Amino acid sequence: MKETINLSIGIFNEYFRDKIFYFIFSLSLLLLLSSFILQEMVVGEPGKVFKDMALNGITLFAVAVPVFITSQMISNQIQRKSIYLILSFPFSYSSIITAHLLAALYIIFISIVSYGLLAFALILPFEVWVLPIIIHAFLSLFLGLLLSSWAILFSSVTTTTLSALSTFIIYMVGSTFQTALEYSQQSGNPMYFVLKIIGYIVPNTTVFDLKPELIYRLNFSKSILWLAPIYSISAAIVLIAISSFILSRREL
Amino acid sequence: MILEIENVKKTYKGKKKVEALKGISLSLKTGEIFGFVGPNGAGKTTLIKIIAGILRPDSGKVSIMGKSPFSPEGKRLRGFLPENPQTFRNLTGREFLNFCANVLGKPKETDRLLKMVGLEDAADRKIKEYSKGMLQRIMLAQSLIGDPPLLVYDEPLSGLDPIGRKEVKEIIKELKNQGKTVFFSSHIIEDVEELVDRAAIINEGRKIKVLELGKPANFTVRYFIEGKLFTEKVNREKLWEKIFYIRENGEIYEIKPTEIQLEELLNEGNN
Repeated sequence: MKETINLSIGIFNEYFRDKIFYFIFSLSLLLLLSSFILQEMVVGEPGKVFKDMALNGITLFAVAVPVFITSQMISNQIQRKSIYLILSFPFSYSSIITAHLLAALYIIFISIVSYGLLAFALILPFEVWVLPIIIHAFLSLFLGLLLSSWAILFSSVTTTTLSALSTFIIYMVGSTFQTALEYSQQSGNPMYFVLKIIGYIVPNTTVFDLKPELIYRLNFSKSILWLAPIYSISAAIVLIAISSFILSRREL
Repeated sequence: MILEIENVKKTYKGKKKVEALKGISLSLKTGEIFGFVGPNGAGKTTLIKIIAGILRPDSGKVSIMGKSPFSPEGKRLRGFLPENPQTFRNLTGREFLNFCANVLGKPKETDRLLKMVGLEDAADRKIKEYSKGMLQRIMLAQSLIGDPPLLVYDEPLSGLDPIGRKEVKEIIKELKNQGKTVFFSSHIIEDVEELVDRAAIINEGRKIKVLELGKPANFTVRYFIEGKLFTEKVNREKLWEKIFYIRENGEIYEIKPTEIQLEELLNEGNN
């Protein structure tokens, strides 16, 4: 395990210094700073725009890092043939995949924490708003884990571009699928059972989204705080196993 | 034997089946530099990937000091340098070596290796700023982490300028002096002739010949018998027999080793 962690630290250092990461970070900062302008333009609770932007910015990291960074980790290395070095190390394929996933998680964690602190500082003049940011950051980290696991899977089988696109599609489908399923059930659509089976495969990303509840102080089931991480970790374990199997079978 | 390869076969099963190795057998002695020569597409890289534990053969057996190259123990017994090496571009040379050393559980080797490959001054520059020669040297350095007895290098001299080639050759010679066994592939015949003790010629996935370059296999013998000059090519095994025969019947004029021309052999193989 120690060697896997050492491997993940090297991978993290490589991708944390990538230009694309700074682009994502700048974009999210811009989002946060745009709250100043929007705050002047909207009528309502003071600081609400900041809260919206704070939580959306955190989600942005949980989605953009898997889509733009994790998705290129394996495929890019295969394309550049730098994967040979890692494959020649005395590790199992599952350790290699896990190390990449951990590296992605470190990037998401550091981004979310630094962005969360900044957002907290900006909201502070209006309200001491700590717990909602922590809850959202916590759930977003597991959303990042889930999406990164999918990104690694795609990255193991296809090119960087297709992998990024597939990860984004998985996120979009995961965000809308449950609503589609509910409508389909309510309207008695015969496709409901087919959709339900598909629902077991595609990730349900809505369980990580408590933004309305947190911003408007609505009640939510506290069990989501442990069910969502369990769901994310279980899916990650299955996806790591599939990715490792695929990578071991590829003739690189 | 430090490395044994027995009847290794490999076919790539893509859209079009490619039989890359058609039953290769080789064995390497400890402390020798062994060249693996062949034209592009001969199967050199495929065999090297198998020895490096990256690609599984369809059949046959490879063992490094009795261990499978795919086992963690086997992987620790060999250092590996891939062809046209690419690695983490955003790390500095020192960070990269530290990373490899930590991963392999040998964290105190970085400075010694940087010195050995002559990259002390460039150690804190990012790898993406390195020239091809420097990249090759930093990758050579990573192959030496953990002091593995066998070093497997895929085309270590390709794409380098004359200075870069000279530097890498010096490192390989130094490794031989340290008692390492080096197995390397190349299609640059002059480099192989300069560096190796033995070489295997491979073409279209088949081994053609193994040559001992330090010891000529054939000699040109010129001699007089009854006043007539004869010129004859004699195999090393039959040389003494021939010398005794000439001494009994005539006079030896000269005996010269016949130089092995790898290029000729390669051409023979191609035909």
